[in-house]
Amino acid sequence: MSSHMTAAWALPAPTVYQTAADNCAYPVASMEADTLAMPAELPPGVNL
Amino acid sequence: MHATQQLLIDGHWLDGAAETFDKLDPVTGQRLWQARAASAEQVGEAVAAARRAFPGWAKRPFAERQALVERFRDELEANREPLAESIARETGKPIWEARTEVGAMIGKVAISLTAYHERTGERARDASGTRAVLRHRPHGVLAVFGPYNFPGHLPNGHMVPALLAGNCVVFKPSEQTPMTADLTLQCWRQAGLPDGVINLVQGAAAVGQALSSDADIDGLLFTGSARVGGLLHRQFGGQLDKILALELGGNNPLVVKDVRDADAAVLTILQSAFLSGGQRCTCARRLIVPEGESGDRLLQQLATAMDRLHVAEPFAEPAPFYAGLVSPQAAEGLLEAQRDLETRGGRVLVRMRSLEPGTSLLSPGLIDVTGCEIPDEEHFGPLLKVYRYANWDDAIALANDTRYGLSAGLIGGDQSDWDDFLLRIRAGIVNWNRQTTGASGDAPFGGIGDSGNHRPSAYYAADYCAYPVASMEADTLAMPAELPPGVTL
Repeated sequence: MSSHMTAAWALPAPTVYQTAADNCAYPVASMEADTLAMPAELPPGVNL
Repeated sequence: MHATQQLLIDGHWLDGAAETFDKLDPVTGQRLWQARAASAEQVGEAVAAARRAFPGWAKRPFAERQALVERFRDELEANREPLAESIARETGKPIWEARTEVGAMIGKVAISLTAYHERTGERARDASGTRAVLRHRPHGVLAVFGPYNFPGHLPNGHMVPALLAGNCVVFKPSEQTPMTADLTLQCWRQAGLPDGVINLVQGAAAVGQALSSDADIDGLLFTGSARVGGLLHRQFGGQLDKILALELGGNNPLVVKDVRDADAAVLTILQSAFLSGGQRCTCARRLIVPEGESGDRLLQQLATAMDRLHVAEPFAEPAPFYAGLVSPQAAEGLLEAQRDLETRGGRVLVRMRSLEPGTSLLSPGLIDVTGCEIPDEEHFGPLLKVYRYANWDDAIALANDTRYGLSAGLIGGDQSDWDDFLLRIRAGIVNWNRQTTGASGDAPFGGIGDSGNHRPSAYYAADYCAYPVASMEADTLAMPAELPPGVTL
């Protein structure tokens, strides 16, 4: 074993970050547009 | 393609052994389904079959599970029309919309494959001669409880990721949509689904209770009402060994501010509140409109558009915007809710009416409940409540005044309004100048408050279908360069 190797017992757990971050936030999914606009065609059954 | 009207347990289609139940088309009254429900014993057999199938299924290389799921997708493609017809007949939704639901089931496969790799894939790094590896493992046997409003798409959104992760499933569809579940399972079998990997148990509350209380399930994935979700949450309290994912309802706000294009605003409100006849969990239930002349004008235009909205049976030509509710009883419940809001001081702007006695067809309703004391309930149909606000802070406070937090929307306003809205509104789907019912399939889907238990689905469904296993591995056992303090060998 070469001298620069870290002993296995001293390595940080590789995935601690994953769960902790997940527990501290909730996801928000958005569909956004700067302007409100009419679509090219109206959905079925709509008459404005 | 015809319904078997049976259960699927361990690869065998079997008659149920409990009481007979039926499903009627909510618009024509025609009987769509009549069969016996699963007995508690049969539910136990379904769980046992899934348990037996689990080790072999989980052990298969991922590519094999992916291939099966892709063959299932091909079966959906080949059976688009019978599936869409079944969905339209059972739910009462227009056939054009039922076809989009089958499309969503097909699209779910590619989304789930991406999510599997991105959310739960395997990765490894070398840490100075030690491999640090992250892998994910399936839980085992998952119970999936489907809702009636998307009887194909929503249970599919649990089952596809569950199977890709290596779980086996016991599926209990809503007793209001047994036929679509039956046809979906036929597609799975046609695709080569191994025995026991998905089992189908049909029936109502007794079947759900037998399944949710079976000690041998490893988790339960539920889409449905906040009431039942709350019962399950209490039932699973203290059961640290089981994963519970709840997708529940909402009392979703849609806030209007400084609208320039009134037609586009009205269309966005119609699409938010009345798509699927209000039978989507993301539907706007509360329209929050400024006091004063511009707000009055918008409501007037909305009322006119509601009067002109074409509501008719699912297969009607020209096509309706929406069609029936899931049952005449559900429609009666909505009318009752409207009466209740009126007795609490609500002012009806557009009256919701039964369009044809004995059917679930309802015209859309609009009721101003500003200042009224009303329960914070989700009315799952075409009934929109209006609140008028004096200033922006009031609007935000009104919007957040709910125990739920599924979807929310802002119509109009400028970038700074949107930034503020996004920061202060409490919901998991928050849209700007777009209908609340538009959610991207490749994003997580879920809410806060009573809308769920922080287990978002869709893109994040992969997360609750597997648990992470972190490993530090080395091929050989070797002495470190130096011993830890205090150790002398």
